[in-house]
Amino acid sequence: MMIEIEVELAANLKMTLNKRVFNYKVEEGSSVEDLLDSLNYSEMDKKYILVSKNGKMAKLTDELKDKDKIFLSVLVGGG
Amino acid sequence: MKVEMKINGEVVVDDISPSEKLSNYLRRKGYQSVKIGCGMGSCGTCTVLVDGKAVRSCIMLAVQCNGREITTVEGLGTPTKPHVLQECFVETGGVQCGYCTPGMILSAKALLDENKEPSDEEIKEALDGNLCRCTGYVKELEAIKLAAKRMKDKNAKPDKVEVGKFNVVGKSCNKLDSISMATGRAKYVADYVEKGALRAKILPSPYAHARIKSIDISEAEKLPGVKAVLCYKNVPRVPHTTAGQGYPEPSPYDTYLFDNKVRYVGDKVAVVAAESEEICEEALKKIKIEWEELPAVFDPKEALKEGAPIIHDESDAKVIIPVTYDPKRNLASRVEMNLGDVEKAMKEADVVVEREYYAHYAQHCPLEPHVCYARLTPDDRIEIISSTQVPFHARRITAQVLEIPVKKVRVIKPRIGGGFGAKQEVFLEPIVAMLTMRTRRPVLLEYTRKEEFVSSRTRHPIYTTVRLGAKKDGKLTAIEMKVIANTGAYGSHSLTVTSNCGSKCLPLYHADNVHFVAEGAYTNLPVAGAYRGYGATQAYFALECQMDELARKLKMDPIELRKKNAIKKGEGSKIFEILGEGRAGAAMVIDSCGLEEAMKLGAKEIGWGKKEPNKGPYRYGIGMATMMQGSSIPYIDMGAASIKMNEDGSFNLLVGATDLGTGSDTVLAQIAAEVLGVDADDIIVYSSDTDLTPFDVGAYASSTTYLSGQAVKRAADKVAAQILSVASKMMDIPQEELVLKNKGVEAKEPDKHKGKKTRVSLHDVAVYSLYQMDQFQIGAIDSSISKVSPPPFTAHFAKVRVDIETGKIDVLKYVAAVDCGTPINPALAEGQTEGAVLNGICYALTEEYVFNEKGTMLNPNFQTYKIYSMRDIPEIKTILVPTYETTGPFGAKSVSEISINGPLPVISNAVYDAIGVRLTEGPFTPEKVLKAIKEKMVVKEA
Repeated sequence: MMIEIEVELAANLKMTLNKRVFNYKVEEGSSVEDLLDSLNYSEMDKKYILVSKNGKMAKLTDELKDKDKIFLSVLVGGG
Repeated sequence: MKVEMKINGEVVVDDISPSEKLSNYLRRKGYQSVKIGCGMGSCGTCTVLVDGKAVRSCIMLAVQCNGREITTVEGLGTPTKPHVLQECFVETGGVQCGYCTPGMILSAKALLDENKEPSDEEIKEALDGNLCRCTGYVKELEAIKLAAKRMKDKNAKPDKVEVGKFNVVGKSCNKLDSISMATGRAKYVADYVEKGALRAKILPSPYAHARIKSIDISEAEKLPGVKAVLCYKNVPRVPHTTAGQGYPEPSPYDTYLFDNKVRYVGDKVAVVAAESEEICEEALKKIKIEWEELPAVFDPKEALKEGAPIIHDESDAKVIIPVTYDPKRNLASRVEMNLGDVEKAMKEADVVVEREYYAHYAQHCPLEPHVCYARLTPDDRIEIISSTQVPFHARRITAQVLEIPVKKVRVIKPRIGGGFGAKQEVFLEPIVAMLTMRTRRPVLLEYTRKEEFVSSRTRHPIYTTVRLGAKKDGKLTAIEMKVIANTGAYGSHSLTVTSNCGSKCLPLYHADNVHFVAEGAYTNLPVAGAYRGYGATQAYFALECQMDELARKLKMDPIELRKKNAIKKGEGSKIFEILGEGRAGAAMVIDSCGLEEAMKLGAKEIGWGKKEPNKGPYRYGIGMATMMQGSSIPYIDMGAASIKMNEDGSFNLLVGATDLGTGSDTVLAQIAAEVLGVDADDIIVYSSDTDLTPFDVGAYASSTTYLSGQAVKRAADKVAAQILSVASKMMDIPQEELVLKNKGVEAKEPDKHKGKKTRVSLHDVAVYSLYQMDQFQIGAIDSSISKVSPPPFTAHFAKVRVDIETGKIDVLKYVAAVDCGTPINPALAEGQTEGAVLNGICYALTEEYVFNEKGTMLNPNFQTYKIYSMRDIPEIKTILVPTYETTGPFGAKSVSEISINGPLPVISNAVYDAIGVRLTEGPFTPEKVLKAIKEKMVVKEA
């Protein structure tokens, strides 16, 4: 069974689907890491992407639920 | 040639080459106060007195001094017995990086010897040949006036600003290293060079875009005295970025120690290390290269178009974090955010204004150009002494590029002659370290002023289009900002500077609908990098001019428009979450904000609303703008401090934080002293040595006072607890009933402890803990990261006079009212503001890179790239507007960057007020003003 989540990418994160805010369907029981894989982020990318689930920091192993709000970002700072 | 002269009162007889410059001779003889800033007699850092007259020793031959008397600043006074001018420069805060200070003092001495009561104009004229980039000349002018007074009245004192309720914090104590600078004892990189050290010179590219088909270095290698020649053929190819940022860096890895392709005029082709600079120059001429010239592109908009020459066509250029990077399109970075529905809001707005602005190329112009010295230690490590803002990043990047372990590299930052962001780059250290490894000799590489302009780093030139939508009552409903930045040939800081255009500007005003898109494009022009303001300078130009246009269209007072829309204490902005540096998704609520007060005080000082009548060709106008910046980068930046107590009750404070002339060592000492109940000069600061001091990201992102200051406070709190614990044992009074005060520990309520000792000195405590009982070293280390980046706020105002016949703009008065939380050292905070304001004014009016059609910079010198001297300065008034930032050390926020953002929009707005034309492209030269006036007349006639 599929569940639908809301995904938003931070302003500086690389887009893989050419959009920054979108609804996305994944298999029920999918983890945060499954989502990143499905969005075609590489192993190296996954090392640096920070995932927030419903306003709280999430781990790659966290399970996704229907209607979860996911915010993906990357630590960037420069000068 | 035999020469006899007197130097600082001592007779010297020497055999000197007829071609040796006096500056070189004096430095060779150990008079290290004689600094080289331009080598062309334009900057005055090499000023000495010859028979009492101030001369520039870099354009005088040493042999011309035969039979004459030379005075350097070492000859005026010593740290324990300074000359009155040296005292006054120290006491007024007239010394920042100190590189120009000896020359300034000597020019002032020559003046005061002849004129005991000079007017301001006479001082400005006498000091006209001495450039300073740090201070804005305000404090130096005060220093000379004070010295003139003190020569007549020994009790003449400077006016010192004090703020707040603390004992050491909020006091304008003397900058700790300033006396060593004013007396010429402070050591900068070139002052560490040992006899026998090699010199190095880089071969610059003559082409904007070309491939090296073949390179032959054999003839150069054969030249006697040449010890190493490096080019792409004999060094490892390691893609990296020169941006000294936190790791993993957000800048693309698109740079190599040397490459088989050059991407701008001035790009590095090869380097030679030899026994002298002259041999280096000779060897560079012997390098034979066959070039394949490639088509070049110089405008970022053109560079992003399909079919443009691809500047980074190599296969190994990459980004190491998941951010947008498309070198095949010359796209070095891209950021985009949306909030609400901008198009709908614009349609529904009562008023919409839209315009494009262009902020131009500029260089930081630290009086000390980039310089790096490296040597091998006895245990075969590389010790790098570098003029850097980022010693720890310099260590990491050098190790990366040389493919050696970090532990093999030590980086030391001595005193440095200004940075302003230019020295947040690591491009000399790997080259010099590689030469040292190859030759096993110490190597010095000093940039000339020309190289500093062309081959170091610049401000990102940026096109910014701002569209604002508002209701009739002035409520902003939509903001759109589109940014196209020119990152030059390499993408150093491209992503973060373009991102900062939005993140430091857009949250200043509330609007429900915001669209921001920024792209950084490669071109075949000099490389942009970090520069004070860091994108905010360029974007505020557009935003604040558009706020002015909006106010005029709404027939509203620009101050009222800003009051209505600006963020206030207790409020947040969704933009902090979406766009802020650091961990996106982290909200920030403004904890301290003195913006309204700043607008009120600034308006009063400038005479807001009072219009001066026309006089002949002169038209007068007043403009204003408001700005915010940040303090550190949340969750990324880290500062650390270590403190140990000495037996006399003094303390060693070790910090990784990097004082680039700003006075941060002093500020950090004041923070420690406040906690420990001592004076700032009881704190012995040692900073920025990767072997000895704890880690710190370095001096950037307006982080040192706020972030490193918090680390110092935390370490000092730990040390204070240890002191109280020892004192408690000594006094037999519970620790919680004791307090650190007046260089000792005292009972809070002495009457409660009759018969007991109610005070012990810190000396007693230290001796007890080191020698007498349960001995241990009182000391602690701690570190700090920030979870927010509290913005300082500022309101700037300028009164200008425009000559409508010549197009010349004169800034008559400039006011900067700044909320930096608690100013830890008000004189230094004022100095930061004045320096930033003046830097911004010359950027707005005179500083300009002129390129030919081949991409060669035509004016890489101080004669034709004009930065202001003391004679050019307007009246500058700084008003500190203290607030209390609870997340900062003793309420402090940052102060160093924010004020450079003001002059472009403020002057543009003032010119509009004066003559009704909108200047949209810097610098505002007379030609541009006349052109704008003419265009307006054409429009009117049509």
